[in-house]
Amino acid sequence: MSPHRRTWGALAGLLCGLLALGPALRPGYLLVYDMVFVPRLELSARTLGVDGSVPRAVPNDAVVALLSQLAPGWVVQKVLLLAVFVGVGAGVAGLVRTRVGGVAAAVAACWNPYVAERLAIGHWGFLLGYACLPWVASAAAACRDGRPYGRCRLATALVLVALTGSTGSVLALIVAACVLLLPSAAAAARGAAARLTDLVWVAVVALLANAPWWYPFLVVSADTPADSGGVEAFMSRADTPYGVLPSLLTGGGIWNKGVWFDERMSTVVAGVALVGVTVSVAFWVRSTGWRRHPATGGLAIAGVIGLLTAGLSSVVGGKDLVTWIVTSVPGGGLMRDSQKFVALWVILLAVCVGTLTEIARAAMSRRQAGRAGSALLALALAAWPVATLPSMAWGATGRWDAAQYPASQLDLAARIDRLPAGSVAVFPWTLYRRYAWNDDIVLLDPWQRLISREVLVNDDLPLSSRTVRGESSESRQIGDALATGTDVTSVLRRVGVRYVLVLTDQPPAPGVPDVSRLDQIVQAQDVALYDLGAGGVAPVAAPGGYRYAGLAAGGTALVVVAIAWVVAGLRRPSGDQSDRSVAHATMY
Amino acid sequence: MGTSGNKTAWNIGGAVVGVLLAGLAIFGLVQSQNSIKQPQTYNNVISYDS
Repeated sequence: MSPHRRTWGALAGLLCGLLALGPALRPGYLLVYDMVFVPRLELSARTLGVDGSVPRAVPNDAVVALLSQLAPGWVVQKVLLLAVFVGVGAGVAGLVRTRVGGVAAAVAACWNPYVAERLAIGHWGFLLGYACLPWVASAAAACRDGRPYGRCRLATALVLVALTGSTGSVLALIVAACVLLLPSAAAAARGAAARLTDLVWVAVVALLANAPWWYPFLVVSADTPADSGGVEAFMSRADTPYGVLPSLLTGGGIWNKGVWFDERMSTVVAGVALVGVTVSVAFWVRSTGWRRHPATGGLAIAGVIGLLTAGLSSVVGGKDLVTWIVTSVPGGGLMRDSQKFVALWVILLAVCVGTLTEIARAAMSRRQAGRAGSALLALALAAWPVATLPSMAWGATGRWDAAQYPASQLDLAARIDRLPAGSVAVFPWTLYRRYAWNDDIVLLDPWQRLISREVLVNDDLPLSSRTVRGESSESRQIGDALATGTDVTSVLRRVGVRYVLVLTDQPPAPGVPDVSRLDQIVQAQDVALYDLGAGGVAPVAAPGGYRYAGLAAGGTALVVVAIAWVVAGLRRPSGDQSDRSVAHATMY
Repeated sequence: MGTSGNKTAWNIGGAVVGVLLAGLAIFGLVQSQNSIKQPQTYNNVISYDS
């Protein structure tokens, strides 16, 4: 039965999570690249997406801020990271038929280059969205086939995935659309009007639930064009010796070589992974795997779309097309880091691995291998994802570890929060830091989250080959002033900055303003705070009411879905027939 | 070959597959450790992809 499979899948996912995260689960913060958690993230204009900046971490930062009211930030972080493994494990286990298949699918969904590389670069929101995908597929199939509560389940799944941010939501919409549009006997019996209603329902719920990020992105930040150079910088790359497509087929291919797993550059290891993928997909096709679960046909189409999208910018002509989408289509910036779309393929691949394991076990049972023996052999066969990515174990062999913010810096953050109004600008004027107390790992500047007021940082993305221009006009003005040697403090005052925070333990490039004549408020270890004074500092306007429209729409989505559940419950027919159909509904 | 013989053969097959995968994992770990980068040298600019 499905709940049993899901339980086994969840347990397998939990085990994978514990083994993969290892030392990162100790008390403290896993701080790598874009993964920044702080002791207590406050709800602010930035976390709510109403400050006028590009909403990159909306609404997932707001979710963290709410959860931080209940538990310390490091506990919230561990729970969310483990939720990725448990969620995706239980989700894919529900898309196969047996417990053994469920465990194999869960391991494949949890232990792969996609999860490893996105964890290493700190994209925890992407991963939570990834964990929702199999649930969206199941719910979409229930909706399409008219099973009880199908529409409510799909709407709930879409609202949940919307909380993880834009990437997860876009991937989930692709999955939902593919599953809903795929014909099935049950769907045909419901008629065209019912299916059209399903699509309209999904569109309305998705539009409302995702408004907290798309509204500020399209409306508030519409005047900030994307840097076309970002397409080449962030397109999929080969992290195996076999090229881009095989790298994507095996779930890897992220652009950032700093987060690659070195064994994947081995011809043998990557070759075995490629064979594992090929055999798993071939057996799934041969067994007409799209018929084994109502959701898998649509999931297969979504998987292929994800694979093609991820590889698009790497083929002739594809880069120009993606560049045009990124620079000309509203919201096209989501295509920039194209490898994230391979998540759809990885979920399909996990289902294929689970199916292969089921087929192998059944074949062995027929040949009198014995129940336990065949299960063990099948699981041994299903362990190839782990064997081809061994260094993901134990916090990527120690690379991911928990760190503590220095007490002096936390004290300074609390002191800044008590200062009179005014924004803070953090120098040296660059977006990423390396801290000795965090093993010198590249880390997104944490001061935007440590301080509960507007903090300006340089939002240009510095790469080894070039710099991808950011979208903030204030940031650009400060950067230009530093580069040209003009009076930086007057520019700071003009954009509403009163306090200058200088991190003295960081490389000075691309620049620090002349602070010799400024009033120093704090001189602590590795950091100094200066006050420009209240005079001449432009007041920072409170967000206008129109900026909250996206949040209001998101709240409306919650209300709509809650009402839908109540209405569906009231309409539920009574009697044994209904109970059986509900049991059938939960089975998938 | 009888049922017990079949079971033994399958068990041996499972063990062989397990050993091969374990060998592959150890090989992968060695590859990973061999390519560990030298300690970071000081860079004037911190790159997102470093």
